[in-house]
Amino acid sequence: MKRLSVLLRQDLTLAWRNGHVAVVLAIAATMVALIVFLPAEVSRGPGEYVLDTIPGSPVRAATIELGGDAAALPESRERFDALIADHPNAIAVELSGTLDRPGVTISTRTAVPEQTLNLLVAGIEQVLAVARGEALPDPQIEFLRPEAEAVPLNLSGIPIFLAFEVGILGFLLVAVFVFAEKQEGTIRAYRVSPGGLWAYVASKAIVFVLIAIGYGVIVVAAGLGITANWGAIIGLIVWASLFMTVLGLGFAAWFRNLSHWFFPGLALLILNLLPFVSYVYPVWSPAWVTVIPSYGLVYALREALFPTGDSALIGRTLLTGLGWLAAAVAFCAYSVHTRLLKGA
Amino acid sequence: MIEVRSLTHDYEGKGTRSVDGIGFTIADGTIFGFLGPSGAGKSTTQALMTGLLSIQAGDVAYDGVSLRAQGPAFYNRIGVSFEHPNVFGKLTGLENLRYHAGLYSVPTEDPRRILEAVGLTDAANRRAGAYSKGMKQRLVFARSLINRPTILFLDEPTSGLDPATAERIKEIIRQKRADGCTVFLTTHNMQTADELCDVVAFLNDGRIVAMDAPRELKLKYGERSIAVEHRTNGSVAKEILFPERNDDAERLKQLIDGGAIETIHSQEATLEQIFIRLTGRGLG
Repeated sequence: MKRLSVLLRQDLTLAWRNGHVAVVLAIAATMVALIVFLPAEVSRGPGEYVLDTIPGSPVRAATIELGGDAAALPESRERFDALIADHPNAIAVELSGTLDRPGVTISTRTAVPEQTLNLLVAGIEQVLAVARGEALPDPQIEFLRPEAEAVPLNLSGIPIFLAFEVGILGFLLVAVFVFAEKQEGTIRAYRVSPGGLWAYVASKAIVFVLIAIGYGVIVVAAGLGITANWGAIIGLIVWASLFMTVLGLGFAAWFRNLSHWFFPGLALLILNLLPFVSYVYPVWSPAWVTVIPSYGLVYALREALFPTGDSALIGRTLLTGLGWLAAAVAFCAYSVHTRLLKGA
Repeated sequence: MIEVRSLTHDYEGKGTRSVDGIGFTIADGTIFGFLGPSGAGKSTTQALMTGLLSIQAGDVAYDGVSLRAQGPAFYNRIGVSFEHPNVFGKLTGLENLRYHAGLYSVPTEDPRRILEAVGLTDAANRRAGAYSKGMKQRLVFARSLINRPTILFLDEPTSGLDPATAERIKEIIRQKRADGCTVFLTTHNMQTADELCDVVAFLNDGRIVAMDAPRELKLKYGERSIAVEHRTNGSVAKEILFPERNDDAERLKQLIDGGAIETIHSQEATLEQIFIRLTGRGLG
């Protein structure tokens, strides 16, 4: 323990003097600025405008009765044309004919996904049915997961800021550490001391876990205050940082310097970032992406930050994470032992 | 006692051996000089003996126990000073020693006392990155002493030092020997070796070409010579003559008879001359 404590003090001093802590604080400040200055909601106005020329405007009345936005239902053609002119990306829907034989014209000036148009058509058919006084079908809705409140826009990035930044920082900065020791030759001095493998690995891992916790606390506190589920959040941050630091340390051991490491290291970081795409566009979630550890992490963090009742997700992620961590530790121990601490 | 047996190392595995089947024994409490020009295999041998390089063939044993069988505790017993100063530039000299001392599970020296011994007291709280090469060299030397080692490996410990500081370092090395420490000194500085070593080994192209006490080597391989300064055509010229050789004996007689000699000194061969005679190459 004495050895680990000495190494930890040394590595913390070096992390401070090498500017690693300053870099992390600067990134945290940027994230806090995004949280503070982004609005909670962005009002973009209606995505479509509907002109009901059916005598008596029954569709307009039915839509408003169903809770539709009156601003999207102009009463005159002049107003309709003016709105479409002001909102070139909006979809223009014109209803004509009669309730029994309605005509629907949908026009767009930009490409609109087919799914969106299909939804629009289905919505219009439903409103027409209501206007005709027909009984609406009562579909059975099964929720696959608990319903959750919408996450404010300015807070929606926090799971991403935590899951990916913490990993990048651990993976990248520990490599910088290792290459500095190689360049200065201090690793050779360590090799002829009784320091050993585990104290070396543990010291680096603890340094970056502490930095990651500091970063995470700043970012989460800025968004959610002190009422967050800190146990789960810290647990996930510690795991993410440990995993990526240990993996990064083992990975860096195979390269001579930062230039030699750069492209392979970047490739691994990009691979780790792919779940970010799935998180933002959930339709793109191929099975192989879901295997990447950061995939489960980002959703578990979202659950910890904005609970939907699926708390088991956090436990499952941490449990799976332990398996990943064990593999990363084994890889790191082998790499550091053979490439850094033992003569080739 | 340190025993090195048939030690061999080939970096690329292509048959070019940096160290080629060398063997020697170092008695406890002696200074063993390992001499040779750059690229002779000196640092490689030290790296093999300290475990910095894995032994490919042969063996190194400390008190009869192979290096391969030594555990981490072995490193509590040794101190290593590197040729290229390898210190944490962002830590002060004092921090470099203090943190390094924390790695050992044996009583260690007071870092301030060691810094004082190598003349770095005033620079103790300055970052090592701002040290001159000589200061870094002294800091690395100081670090090798931090765990009170019983075996010291020193690679060019006086390289780049001014004569006064080099003498200070040599005195510490002599004191360590007096305390019973065994010193493995790697250098290409024959004068340092001559002054410090009980035994020296000449290394050339990875092989030991001669090994003995410096005095014995001089007696065995050196020829006594005479340095003569004489005035010829108004200017002073210097000649080294070997009286055991017929030509040189005749030349000496000629100079004495001519009455042109201004100074005359007998001298013994230096280790460097012996090295050149044995290997046909200098130490540069």
